[in-house]
Amino acid sequence: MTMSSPGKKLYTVLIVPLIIFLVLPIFAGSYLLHIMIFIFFYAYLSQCWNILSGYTGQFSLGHAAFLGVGAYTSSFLFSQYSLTPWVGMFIGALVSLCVGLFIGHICFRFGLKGAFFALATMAFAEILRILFLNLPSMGGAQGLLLPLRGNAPLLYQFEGKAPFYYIALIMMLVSVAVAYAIERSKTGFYFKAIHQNEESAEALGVDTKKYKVIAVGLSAAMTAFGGTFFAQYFMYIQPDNTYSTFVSFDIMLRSIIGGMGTVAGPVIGSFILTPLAEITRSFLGGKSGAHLMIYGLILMAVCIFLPQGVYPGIKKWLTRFQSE
Amino acid sequence: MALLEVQKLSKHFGGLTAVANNNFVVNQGEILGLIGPNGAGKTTIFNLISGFLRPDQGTIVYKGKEIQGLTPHEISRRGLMRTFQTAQAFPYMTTLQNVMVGGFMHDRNRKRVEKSALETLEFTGLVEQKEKKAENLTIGDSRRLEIAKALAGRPSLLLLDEVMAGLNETEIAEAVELIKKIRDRGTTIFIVEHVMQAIMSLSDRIIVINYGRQIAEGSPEKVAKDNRVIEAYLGEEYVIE
Ligand SMILES: Nc1ncnc2c1ncn2[C@@H]1O[C@H](COP(=O)(O)OP(=O)(O)O)[C@@H](O)[C@H]1O
Ligand SMILES: [Mg+2]
Repeated sequence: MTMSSPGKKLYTVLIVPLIIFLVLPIFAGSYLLHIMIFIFFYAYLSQCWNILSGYTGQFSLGHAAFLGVGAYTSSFLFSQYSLTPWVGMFIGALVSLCVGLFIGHICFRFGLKGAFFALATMAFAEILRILFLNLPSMGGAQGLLLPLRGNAPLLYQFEGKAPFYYIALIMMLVSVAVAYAIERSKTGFYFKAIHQNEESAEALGVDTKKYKVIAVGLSAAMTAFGGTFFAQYFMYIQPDNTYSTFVSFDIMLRSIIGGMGTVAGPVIGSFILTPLAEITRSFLGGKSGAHLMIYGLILMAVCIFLPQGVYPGIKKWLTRFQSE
Repeated sequence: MALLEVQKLSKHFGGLTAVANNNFVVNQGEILGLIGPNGAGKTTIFNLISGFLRPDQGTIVYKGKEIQGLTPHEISRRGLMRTFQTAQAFPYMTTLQNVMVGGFMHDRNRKRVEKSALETLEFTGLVEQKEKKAENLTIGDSRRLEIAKALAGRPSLLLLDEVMAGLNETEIAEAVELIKKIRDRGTTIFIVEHVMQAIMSLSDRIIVINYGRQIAEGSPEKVAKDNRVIEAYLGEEYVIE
């Protein structure tokens, strides 16, 4: 396919925000940077979720498990063996990959589908949360406090927020590039085929089980990098802010609201949801659960007015507008 | 030469015998018809051959190798492909993308797969619908797409399950022409069809089953005159001409 003119237009449109993102830390205050970091961070995590759940339709309610595995692996290796998280995050991704392949293999081997797969992933994350709450070597309920080394870029520690801002931005851009490449590849066609009609996919030579397991593994490994980022940004992790089901909801809601199975959906969803969530959290306190009410309201609005998510909704509306 | 050989094939669903001790061959290059009243077990036979169901008994030999027990995708990859009685497209993909899924079986390269998918759309008369979402196709076009998807996998043996159901006279004539063209390109065809004049004019041979049992086999003319066949079809809405 040759690049269509709307495609070219899209690229020029994307250049502008990209330049703004690149220079933003020069002007922005610490609070704005914090919110931007979270927007990128959740866009990244939700894109990882989207690659599995949005494209193949295997709905994970337990992505916190992979975030937690990534966070705990790199943090444990750093606090116990002084291994730099820059290396630890790859080991975390490897561990998470194995965990993902294991879950995928077990679930799909026994033919778990739809709600059953969703519940199995949720249960798995919960098991990990309870396990880590009771593992003294992992800090138990107190969690792990990472040793502070001041401004130590080689140890993934920085003074100020700007470096984290750029890391989160790069992570988001990489995840978008990965999703874009998948969407145009054989693997992407197979993922979507499995989502839309599994029997028919099998009949056309698609090893549906294998591709579903690949999707879980890839998504799990990518999510783990987010876990290390989370640990380094806060320098503190505990089972309740990594393995929690709320974290899983936080991850998937961006894609659901922005548009599942699209490259742009998780990013758009994060730009809508994250600022609202962070602002309510900082005004009303994290424990109040007020941000969950905001999620609920937005989710209801999207379900009613844009049932496929904001991005597909806008796209449909635009094409209708153009053709008139 | 036998491309597919089925021996002592049986399948039960609980107390119901859907396929009872079937024995037949599909020869290289022929069009073999499979007919029988509703519920006779035709789709079940296709499900057994294509790996969607496991036989209770019997062997299925394709290209000299036993294939019962293989998964559907393994069987498709060996060149034995099928269509579904109720068209099973990928509803939110375009017609072109639907066919490309089949094309990726032999090639990873998206450009090449797209090019050959376009040829398949041309061949099946769907090229004008290439950008249309599968869910928006007419019945006639979704039946064509069902065939086109399978053709993209370049099958040696193609199982067609009632691809003419719901089509009008003209569309049936077009479907008959298309199936002949597919055979002439070298694909062996095993076809289940309820539209009698179509299957009678297409098939080199016909197998008739009733309640899972084979009751007749032979040329269309011979089968049409067979008393057991006429009896089996009594009470059905159509008659054999
Ligand atoms: N998966 C299944 N489970 C239970 N019974 C089935 C199943 N598939 C088919 N049957 C039964 O087996 C018999 C043969 O069905 P089928 O092969 O679909 O017939 P045909 O295609 O000739 O109309 C019918 O009585 C049908 O109800
Ligand atoms: Mg049938």
